[in-house]
Amino acid sequence: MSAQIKIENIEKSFGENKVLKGINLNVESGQLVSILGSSGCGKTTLLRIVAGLEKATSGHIFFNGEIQDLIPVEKRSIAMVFQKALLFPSMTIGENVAFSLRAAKNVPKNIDAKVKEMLELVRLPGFENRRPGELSGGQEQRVSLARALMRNPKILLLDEPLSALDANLRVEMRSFIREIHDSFEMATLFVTHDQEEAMAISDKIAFMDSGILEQFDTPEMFISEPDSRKVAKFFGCLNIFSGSITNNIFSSDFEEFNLIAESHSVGNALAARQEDLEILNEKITNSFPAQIISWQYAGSRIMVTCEALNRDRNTKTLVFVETDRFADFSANKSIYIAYNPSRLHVIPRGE
Amino acid sequence: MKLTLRPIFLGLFIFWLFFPFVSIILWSIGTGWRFPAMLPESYSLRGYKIAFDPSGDIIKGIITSTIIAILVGTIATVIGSAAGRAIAMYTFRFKKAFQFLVLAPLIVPGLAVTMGIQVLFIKYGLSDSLQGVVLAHLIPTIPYVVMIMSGTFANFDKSYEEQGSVLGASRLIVLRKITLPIVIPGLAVSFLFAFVISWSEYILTLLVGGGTVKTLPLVLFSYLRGSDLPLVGAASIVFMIPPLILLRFTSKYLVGRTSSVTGLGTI
Repeated sequence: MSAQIKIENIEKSFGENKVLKGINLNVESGQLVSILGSSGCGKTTLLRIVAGLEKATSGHIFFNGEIQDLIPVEKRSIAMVFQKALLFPSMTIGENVAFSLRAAKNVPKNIDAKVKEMLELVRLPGFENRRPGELSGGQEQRVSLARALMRNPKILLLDEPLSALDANLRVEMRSFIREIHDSFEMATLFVTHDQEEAMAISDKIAFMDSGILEQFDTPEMFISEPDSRKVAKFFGCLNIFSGSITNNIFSSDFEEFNLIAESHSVGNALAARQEDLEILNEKITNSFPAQIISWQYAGSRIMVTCEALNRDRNTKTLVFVETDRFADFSANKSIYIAYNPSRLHVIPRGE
Repeated sequence: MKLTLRPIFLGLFIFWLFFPFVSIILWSIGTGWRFPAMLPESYSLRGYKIAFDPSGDIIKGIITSTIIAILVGTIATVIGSAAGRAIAMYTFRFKKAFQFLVLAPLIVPGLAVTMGIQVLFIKYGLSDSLQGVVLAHLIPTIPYVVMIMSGTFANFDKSYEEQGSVLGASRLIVLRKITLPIVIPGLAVSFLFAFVISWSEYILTLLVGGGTVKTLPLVLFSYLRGSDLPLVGAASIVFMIPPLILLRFTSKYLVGRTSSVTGLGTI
């Protein structure tokens, strides 16, 4: 079976500026894929190309095996929700939701009943006769989603639909979007710059940087096995050490890390997540000496900044440890930092 | 000091604004009004009887003027909106030059332009005709529409149209159901401006219409040269009515911070 959305070698340039550099991506039916990246990485452009709002410089888009390149936006069987709710100001909420049905060539019957049903689904029953200005941001975005879903789409495209909402509402809305996605059996592409949002909502994440698809994987893989230094950094890994591997030993500037026996990793950077390290007072196997510099609360946890003396005896490397146990973290205290070889990850593209 | 002067200035301003209207109304209904009398000796509606005579020049003038002004208002609004949208929403080569060209008729003296187009119109058989007058009236009206509509479209979010397309609406439906309802204030104000400019246009009509196309200003002017002042007064009152009616329906778009008004800031 062919993928619901197939993005094949898409490139896009605006004048001299190349914003997408050969993107390949498949989204299966029932899958929710987030396109994640910082602003300007090309994620919205990619979504707009899938929707047909923008033309790719080269490459192809397929929906369920059918090429879409020449199909105009209004004829593509998609639904799209933008960052702003964009409710048509001259129409009531009911008319907004019914828009796609009334715009269709064959206007179906029982539009009112369908609108009612859809507004109930997005938990806004009885809102038919209200005007767009009377709703809160979250309610507007739910109407926008309802309006999109009226087309009964197989493909749902969401362009940062939550970024205009406040933090609490965002959390509530993202589980709502997940629920809606599951009940409609769609292939959903969700563009966001928020790593936490992508982790919470997606089956898979497509991480983009400077027009390149850096990694396409399940959320947990981005934490445990980042493909590149950029990915590791974006997903909050603070300890990325340069070095080289010989015989399952990763030699960094300050320590020789033991890797797990069956590891056949190749790469020149090691990711050791701060929450996987532990501060000890005595040396054990798989630990190295360091000195505490400072500590501070990071939410409900504690972030301890340490430094390890490099083997040149001159320079030092910063090491961050995140812990939930408070202890004596006074500055200049000598400690040992323990690591678990199975939690270390050699980054294939360490740059 | 400031507070006490304010009502006086306001009073003077209102007097300055409305005095001509009062005197026209008095002229239209008064007879035998000679200097230094403050008010006419007697009153009659003779001026209005002549003005509203169905076979008279004024009624014919009203009909001709209305047809021309509606045509000019409509055509100028359509063309000017397209140009205004292009200026506000798109970038293209020679945009500045295009903007200047569009607005040039406001800067270049109208008479000079008219002399130029008259030669052309005679060549193409457009002089002395209603079509010719309509075309000529488009020259001073389109620039105003372009300015108003570029202001309107500068505040228009193109995403609304994209939202319409991704919901499966054709371009025509997007235009009819999404774009037009949003820009309607600008369109109404544009139509009002174009209508009023065309309605009161004299020189262009005289030169291009050659006296065959008799709009109300032409009729009014011919009366003014006569000495029947009650008739001139009545005709002037009649002349003011249609724009006022139109203003009544479009005034809501003229006040406040509507986008159509911001476009006028470029004048």
